[in-house]
Amino acid sequence: MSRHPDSIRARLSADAPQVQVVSALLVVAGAQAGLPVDRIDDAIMAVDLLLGARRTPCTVGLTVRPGAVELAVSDVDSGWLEGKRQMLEVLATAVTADGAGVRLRVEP
Amino acid sequence: MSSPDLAAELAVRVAAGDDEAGRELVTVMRPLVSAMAARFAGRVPRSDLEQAGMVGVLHAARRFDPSQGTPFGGYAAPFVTGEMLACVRQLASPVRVPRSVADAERTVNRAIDELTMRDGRSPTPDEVAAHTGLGSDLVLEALRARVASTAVGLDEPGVEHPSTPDPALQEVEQRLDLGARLDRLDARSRRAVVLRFGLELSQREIAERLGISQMHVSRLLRAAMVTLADDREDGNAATG
Repeated sequence: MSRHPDSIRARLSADAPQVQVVSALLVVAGAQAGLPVDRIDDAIMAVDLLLGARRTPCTVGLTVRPGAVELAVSDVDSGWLEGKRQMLEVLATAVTADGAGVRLRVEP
Repeated sequence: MSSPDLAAELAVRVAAGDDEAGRELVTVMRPLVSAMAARFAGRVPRSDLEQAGMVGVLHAARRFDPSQGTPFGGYAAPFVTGEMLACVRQLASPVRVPRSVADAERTVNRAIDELTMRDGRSPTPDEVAAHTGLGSDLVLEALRARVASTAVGLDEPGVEHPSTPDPALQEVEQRLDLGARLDRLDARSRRAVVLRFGLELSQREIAERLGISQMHVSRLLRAAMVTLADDREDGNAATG
């Protein structure tokens, strides 16, 4: 795990409690960014959606910016992502396919 | 004055800041709360459930609008259930948190609903800390505990969900194109999902529509996300 003042990146194994780990980090990141609680909830729901049924390892990156949190998740199937895009776009301000993964930006 | 009328009158006084009315309302509502606590019998101590239920009664009173014509007991029931579920999750959850954090979690949950109602928007954690007088670190711990407890699946014994189909919502449901996955949700969770993702309502707006707390909406939606994320039957999210 590497850590910088405004970002954190972690490789999570298949049997790690991925949702719980990332959700706990998102609470802190969301508070640091000044997000309201319902938007932190939205970001966590996006994590539920992305990682809730996952049975494979992934790399997760979190970046705190003034008024926003960015979340990157690796190894997300593009077909699956398209199927969930409509819901993710409600939960996040921006949803961007990022190579073999996805990047979300959550703002108030 | 009949008990329903008295409860409604007391609720109005509670909303106006009358503490004595709050104490009377708790007494009037005790039989209902006690009966509802019986639904969760054996899972956590009855006294804890009844105490949680009373928090729900007072919470409901602050939002009660008698002009809608709904009896206070019926209006308060979802709030009571929500608080009891939170109590069950805290005390029976595999995720154990210290008592001090569990208490802070309740305080934070109430503050979130109060501030949302007061300001018409969801508060930031800093605003919750300022409102409750809790330190920022304890608020964050409480929010983490809240997230952990809402991750536990929904199991609402004896809770009645509205089952009348709403044509407008059915149309939105079809547009959402979640197919059979929506069928895995109970009626209320399904409505919450459709309102959130189909009509893009906020948690506060959904809470108002469904007559439940924002915290309860958050729980419904998170549990629904876990269900909707489970694509094992139609392909996995990960490329591996």
